[in-house]
Amino acid sequence: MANKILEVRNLKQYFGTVKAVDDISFEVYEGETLGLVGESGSGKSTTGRSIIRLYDITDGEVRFRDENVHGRKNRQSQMTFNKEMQMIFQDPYASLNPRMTAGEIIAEGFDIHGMHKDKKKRKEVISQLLEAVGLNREHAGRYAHEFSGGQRQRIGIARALSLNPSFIIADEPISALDVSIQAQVVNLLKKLQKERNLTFLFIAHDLSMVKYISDRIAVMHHGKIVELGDANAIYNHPIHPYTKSLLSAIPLPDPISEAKRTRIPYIPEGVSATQTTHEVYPGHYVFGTDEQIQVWKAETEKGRIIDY
Amino acid sequence: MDEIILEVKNLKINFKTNAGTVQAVRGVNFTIAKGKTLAIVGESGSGKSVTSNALMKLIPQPPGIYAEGEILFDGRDLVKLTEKEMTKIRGNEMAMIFQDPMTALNPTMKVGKQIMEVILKHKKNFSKEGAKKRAIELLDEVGIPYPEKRFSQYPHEFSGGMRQRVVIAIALAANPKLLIADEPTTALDVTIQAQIIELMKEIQRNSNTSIIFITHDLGVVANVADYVAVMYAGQIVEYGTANEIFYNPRHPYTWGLLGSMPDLDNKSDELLRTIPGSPPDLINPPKGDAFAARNEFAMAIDYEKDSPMFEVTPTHFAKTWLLHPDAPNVPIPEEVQKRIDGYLQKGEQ
Repeated sequence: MANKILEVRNLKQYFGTVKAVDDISFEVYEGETLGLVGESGSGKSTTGRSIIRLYDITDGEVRFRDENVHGRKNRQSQMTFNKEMQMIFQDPYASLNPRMTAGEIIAEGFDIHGMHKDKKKRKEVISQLLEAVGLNREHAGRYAHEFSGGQRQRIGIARALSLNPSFIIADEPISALDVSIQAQVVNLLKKLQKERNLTFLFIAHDLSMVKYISDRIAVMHHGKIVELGDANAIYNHPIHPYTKSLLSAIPLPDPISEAKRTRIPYIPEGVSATQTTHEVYPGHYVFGTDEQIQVWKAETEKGRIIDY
Repeated sequence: MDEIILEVKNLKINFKTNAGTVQAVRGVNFTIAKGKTLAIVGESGSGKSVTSNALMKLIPQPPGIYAEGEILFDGRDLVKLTEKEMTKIRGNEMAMIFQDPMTALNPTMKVGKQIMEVILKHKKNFSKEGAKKRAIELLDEVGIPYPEKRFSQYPHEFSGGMRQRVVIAIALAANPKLLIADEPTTALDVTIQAQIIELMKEIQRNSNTSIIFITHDLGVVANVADYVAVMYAGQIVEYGTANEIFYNPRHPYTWGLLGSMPDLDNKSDELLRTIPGSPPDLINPPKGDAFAARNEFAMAIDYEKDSPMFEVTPTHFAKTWLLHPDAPNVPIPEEVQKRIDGYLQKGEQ
C-alpha cells in the first residue's frame, strides 16, 4: 500500500450556523487521485479550501505528511507547506489576474519563494512550465484575456506546478470548459500525474469525469461523506441511497438506455446521532446507522456480481 | 408526415465589432415538427445560442445583422417582422427558457406576478382574478409545492431548481407552440437537471409543444432529442435522428465530441480522445472546411473548398468530404465504435 500523504480527521468547518463540513475523515495516498463529488452545497469545495488552509477550521485536524496543517507554524514551515500543496481553481477567468502576463502569473510563486533568481534561469523555468502544459514559450508575454478558456486553465495548472508540489487540490478544474477541451485538460492532468508522481484531490460535480480520473471516490452530501471507496465499486455497486440516486441521474450519450432511464429519487432519512461510518467491504465506507447499513448492503448484494 | 411549425432557411447572422465582422451563424437550415424536440449541440462559439436568439429576434441590432435567410414560423418570415409585430409572437406563440434562472427572473417582483404579466399581456380574455388562478395552476403544473403560498414569494426564496421551474411556468403561460430552451439545465445539479428534463418532456406529451433544446451535454441530448443538429463554427455539420447521430455518426467533429466523453464502463488507463486545437476565428473563417485544421482525416480538398451536406439517409446528413463517393473509406474511430457497440449490445439485452 502506498504511503498516506494526507489525513483528514473529524474535520468541521462551520460558518455561523451553517455546517458546511460536518465531521468528515478520510485519507489520501501518495500518487493516487481521490475524487470528491457532490452537488452544490454539499461541502466539497469547502473541504478542499479547508485542507489548504484558506479557512481556519472549526474543529478537527488535517495532517499532511504527518504534520498538522493548521497548527501553529513558523514562516519557514508554512512556506514549505505552501510549496508542497497547490490548488487549481474552477474559473479560469476569475482565477488569473488580468493585469499580469502568463509568465508573471506562473512565476509569482517562485518569486515569492525566492527561487530561480537568475533571470535566464527564471525565463527557462517559465518556458518549461508552459511547454509542460501544452502551451509554448511565446505565450509568456501575453495577458489572460488573449487566451481561450482551455488555455487559461492550462496557465492555472502551470502556476500550480511552478513550485513542484506533490499534492494538488483541483476544485472543479474542468466545469467551465467545453467537452472537447475538458478531455484535453483531463488528459494533461493524467500525464502530469504520471510524470511527476502527483497526488490529486479532484473536486467535481460531474460523476462521469470523476469516475474516469479517480482511483477512489468520496461522495459528499450535506457536509458529510456518505460513501467512500474504490471508483469502480462506487460506480458499479453503490451502497448509500444518495450515491445510487446521483448515479441514476447521469445522462449517457446512448438514446436507447436514456429512453429506459429510471431515476432513483433520494429521500433523506434524516440524520441521527447513531449514524457512523462503517467499513462495509474492505476499503468501502458507508455512513449510516447499523440498521440502515444492513438494509442497504442487502439491497446492493442482490445485484452484485463480483466479490472482493 | 409531421406538421412543420418552424423552418429556418440559409440563416446568416453577423456581428460588427471593432476587430471586424464576426460571422457567427453561417448558413443554417433546419425544420422542426409539431410535438418534436430538436437538440442543437455544439461548443462555445459554435453559434448555437446565436441561432436560438435569432429565432426569437433577440439579436441586438446593431451590432447584430440578419445578413441572409428566412425564419418561417406559421407561414410568416420572422426576419421581416417589425419589433412591434414580434412582441405579439414572443412569449406568446414561442417562448424561451434561459440558462440562468436567477438572471431570467426579476428579483424585485413576486414570482406569481411575473407569470400573471405574461397571461395578461397575451391572453386578452383573462381578468386579473382569472390570471391569478391560472398562474397558481401553472406553478402547480411545473411541480412547485404549495403554489398559493409560493405565488407571493420572491425569486430569492426559491432554490435553483425551483427557480427554473418558475421560468418554465412563465414560458408556458401563454401556451406557446414552440419552446426554445437555451442550456436550461446547465446551471443545475445533476439530480435537479434530471427532474427539469422530466418536467419538460411531460409538458411536451401533454400539450404537443415543439422544443428546441440547446446544450453542450451529449448525455442530455440523448435523453431529450428526436432530432439532433451538431453545430461547429456557425454551421450545422451533422443532422439526423438521435439514433443516427449517436449510433452512426459520420462527421469527424461528432466523433471527436463523442470520444471526449469518458466511458463509464471502460478502464480509465486510456487517454480520452480529444479534438486538438481550438475553433477557428469567425472574423476570417478559414478557406475550405472550417473543421479541416482540427480534423485528423482532412484531405487536400478540405483546405480548398467547403464541403456540402451529403445525404447518409433521407433523415441523416453530414457536411464532410469523407462522404464524397471518391473519398477513401474512413470508418468510425475504433474507440468510438467500440463504445457504440457496447451501448447497442446493452440495448438488446
